[in-house]
Amino acid sequence: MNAIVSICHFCELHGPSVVFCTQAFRDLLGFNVIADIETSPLENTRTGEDEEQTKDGKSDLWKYGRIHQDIVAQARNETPNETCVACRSFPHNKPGYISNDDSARVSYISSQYPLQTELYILVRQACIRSLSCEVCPGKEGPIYFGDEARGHVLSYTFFLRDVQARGFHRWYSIMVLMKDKMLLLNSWPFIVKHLKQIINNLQDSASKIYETEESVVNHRALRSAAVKMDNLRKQRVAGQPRSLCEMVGEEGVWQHLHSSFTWLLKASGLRLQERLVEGPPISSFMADCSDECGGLNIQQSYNILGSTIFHHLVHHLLIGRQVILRGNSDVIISALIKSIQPLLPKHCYRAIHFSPHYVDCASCNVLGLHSLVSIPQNVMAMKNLCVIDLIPKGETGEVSSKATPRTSSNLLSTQEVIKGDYQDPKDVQDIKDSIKNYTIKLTQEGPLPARPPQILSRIESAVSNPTLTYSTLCVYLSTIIYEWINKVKVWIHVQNAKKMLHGCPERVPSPSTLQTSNRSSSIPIIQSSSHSLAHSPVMSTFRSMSPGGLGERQQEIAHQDEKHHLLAAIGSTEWDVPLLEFWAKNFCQDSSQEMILQ
Amino acid sequence: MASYSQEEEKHYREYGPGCEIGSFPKDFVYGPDDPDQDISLIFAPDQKPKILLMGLRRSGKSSIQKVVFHKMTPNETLFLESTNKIESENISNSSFVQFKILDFPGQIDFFEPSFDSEKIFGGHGALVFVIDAQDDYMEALNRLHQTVLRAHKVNPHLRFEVFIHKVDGLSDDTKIETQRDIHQRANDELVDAGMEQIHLSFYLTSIYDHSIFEAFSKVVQKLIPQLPTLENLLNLFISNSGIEKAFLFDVLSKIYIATDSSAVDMQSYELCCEMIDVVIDISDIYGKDEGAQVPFDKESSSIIKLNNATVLYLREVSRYLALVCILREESFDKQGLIDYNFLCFRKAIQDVFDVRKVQLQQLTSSLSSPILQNSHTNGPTT
Repeated sequence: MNAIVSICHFCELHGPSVVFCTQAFRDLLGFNVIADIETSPLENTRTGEDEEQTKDGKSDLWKYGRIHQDIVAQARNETPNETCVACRSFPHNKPGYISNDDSARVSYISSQYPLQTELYILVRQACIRSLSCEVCPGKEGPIYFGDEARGHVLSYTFFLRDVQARGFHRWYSIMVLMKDKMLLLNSWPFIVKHLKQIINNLQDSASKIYETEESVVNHRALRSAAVKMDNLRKQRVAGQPRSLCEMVGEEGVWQHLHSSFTWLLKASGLRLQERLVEGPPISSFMADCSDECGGLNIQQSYNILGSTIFHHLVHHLLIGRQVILRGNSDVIISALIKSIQPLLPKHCYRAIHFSPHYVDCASCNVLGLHSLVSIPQNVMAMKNLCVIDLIPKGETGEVSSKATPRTSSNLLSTQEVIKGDYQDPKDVQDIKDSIKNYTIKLTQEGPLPARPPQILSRIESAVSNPTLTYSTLCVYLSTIIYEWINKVKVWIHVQNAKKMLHGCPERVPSPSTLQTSNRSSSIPIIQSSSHSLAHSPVMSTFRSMSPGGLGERQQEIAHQDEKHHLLAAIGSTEWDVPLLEFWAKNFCQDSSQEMILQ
Repeated sequence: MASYSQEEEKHYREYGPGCEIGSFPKDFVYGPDDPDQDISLIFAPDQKPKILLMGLRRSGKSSIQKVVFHKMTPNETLFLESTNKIESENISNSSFVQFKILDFPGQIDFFEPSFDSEKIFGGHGALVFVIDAQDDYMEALNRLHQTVLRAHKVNPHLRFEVFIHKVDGLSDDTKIETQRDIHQRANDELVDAGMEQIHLSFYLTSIYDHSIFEAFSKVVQKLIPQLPTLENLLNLFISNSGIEKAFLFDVLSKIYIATDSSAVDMQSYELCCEMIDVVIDISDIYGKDEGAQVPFDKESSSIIKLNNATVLYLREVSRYLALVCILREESFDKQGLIDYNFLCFRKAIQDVFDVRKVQLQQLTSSLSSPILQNSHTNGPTT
């Protein structure tokens, strides 16, 4: 994660001050890719410095993304010299700790101040803000503040008990400063959880020291007594600076913080990843609606069907129900069926324009039937279809009576008979004219979800708008579908990732697994076992999950929660789920086929 | 206090033209006299006068605030934590004394460009700079100099008060010497910087006696524009009732809002403070608890006769204001006269309140009318 984690302290002598901070440095990717690392031109320019460094014996410690020494020096000069034990972590001119992650080519460096001047200014400002300006309700706790110019900051304010402090405690805060607001806020639960752990550890150790010191002598009484004893010396009793090491009674506290912060930077970077969701090109999903196939266009169909029937029809269509149009003119039926093609992506539109017998919904979702064909009872019973009948005016009763006795076996002959009876309309005008002879009726309908998908109202408002030309409408409709196909892609990706994740609930290792070594060298180094870090699984869930240890119910809640997060992330709602699932179903089939082809 | 009245005059000149009532500048307590003109002022939250407590760390800023406004005992202040941010507090006990106290952390330089110094130092108010007299005060003087210069640059109307604090540990000679020295050095530096027009007032203070209350009273009084009227009323009252000295107290904080024009001596002020404590404590223990914050109401009054033929007489003026008088025993024979005069005095004070009430009502009623749409801040008075 591209962030800088720092500890700030409200020093009783110097006010808010930055005590310690950890940064990640990485090699510029470009250079490594272009040239082999050993012979890279970048490396060559560095050699001069490197030789200098070798004399100090630290050249090989800072491996990746090293910044120019001048900048570091500059930053050093900028920093105020008046520091006391309380607002200092490392003595001057000592760089602190370095951890190198060889697999990811990142160096994590801890020092008192950020090494770049511009970062120092940002961190310093954020430090003042976090300790002296922003108020967290309840005083201790995490807050967010920041803007584009000054960086986005998550600051966790806390205090450590100390007998020698004024008010018997001292204020600290841990800040995570980064430029990416969305990433920071999305990582909030994760970061806060782990900061809290770090802080609890510090507070526990500080409290222990406090208790021990308090058990020796009551400092409250001591302070009162000192005032009575000697007025002139009373101010010396409290408010002397004290280093963090002393307060928590742990010499290696900075080392621990370094490893904790390094882990935090590493793990929160791995937690959320931005990735391009791969899939077949969008164009393969777009219905081709350039030709006005069959004569009718979608606007005309809308006028013919009327808004109520159209609403039901499209709703059924969008969520993957079978839609059956029945009538005795195959031209009209197929024209209607063709006209609704632009409403669905290609892979979801499987139509049979005019079939002599019923075809089940697995092989087609839009079906044209002759009015005499009856739908099998078992299909009707499933109630997941929508039947629209075109009934010739004046012979309403006749059609239904005629339709019942016939079976699908002799349909071919009946079709011929009827063809003979009717003069088929030839062009659009004919269809329009002849359709006036029909009453359109929604005869069968399965139950619909309470709310239609969001896309439906957009389609309706577009189609019912008479000012749009057909080509404009087509562009608009394909834009809507394009948008939703992208959402479906993300949906599929997350669903798949979830399935995989449930298979192997592995987590990023905790900082305790980091090995510390090389302590004997002049600069203490902690070499992280970067191998195990680098190969932790990709967690593309939208919230940190804790697999295992949850009750069934809790898990379900967590699931629901997660689903809501996902829906919110792709700008959808609960009632879009049927649509997403339907589109995704066919999508997978299609894409897997294409994958095989590739 | 010559400089004070000059400043006051300047103040009147600035705010005077829009005023209907000559002696009351309108931007402070009474609200604007001409609602059309000053509508924005009323709703700006920072229009209350501010008292900024500044100074080096550990000089006793928070202690002063806690002792004066929170009744903290001085010994308790030893255990205060260091202030890490500007602590702002509204003091709006009485209708007269309404101001905001800002307690600054001494460690931070608030003139850094990242702070909005206009917002911090702007507006009407006073800057109280606290110097620890028990410490080496050279650093404090440097800071005082810088603070005064820069604050004056931001807001030339800001008053500057210097508290030479923690003098309880010093002998009387050292006190005088310290005050003289600090006064000398601070003013010399200002003259060197060519800013002799900035006036600094110095006070010797300590939270262990009443000096801090007295000093704070003086600071607050300067923020009350109708002080001359109140003083006038008090003068009339005591001369007609045979009273030696009278204080108008804010009961809660024990700072005095006004006194008659005779000199204030520390003992009589302390005596009156103690009397208020007695009255409050007694009514706290035996008074009816009606959920009121302060057990002090219209009927509150107290007479304490001392053995040196002096009488202390306390009467309630308004809910948060009390009048405490010191008088000779023989003058108290005419208690009826005093009581009558007091009623007149109280009525006069209430008249002063009413002016404000009426104005507030006018303001709220006119607020709802659409005429205010085209209000302008500096327009002519209607």
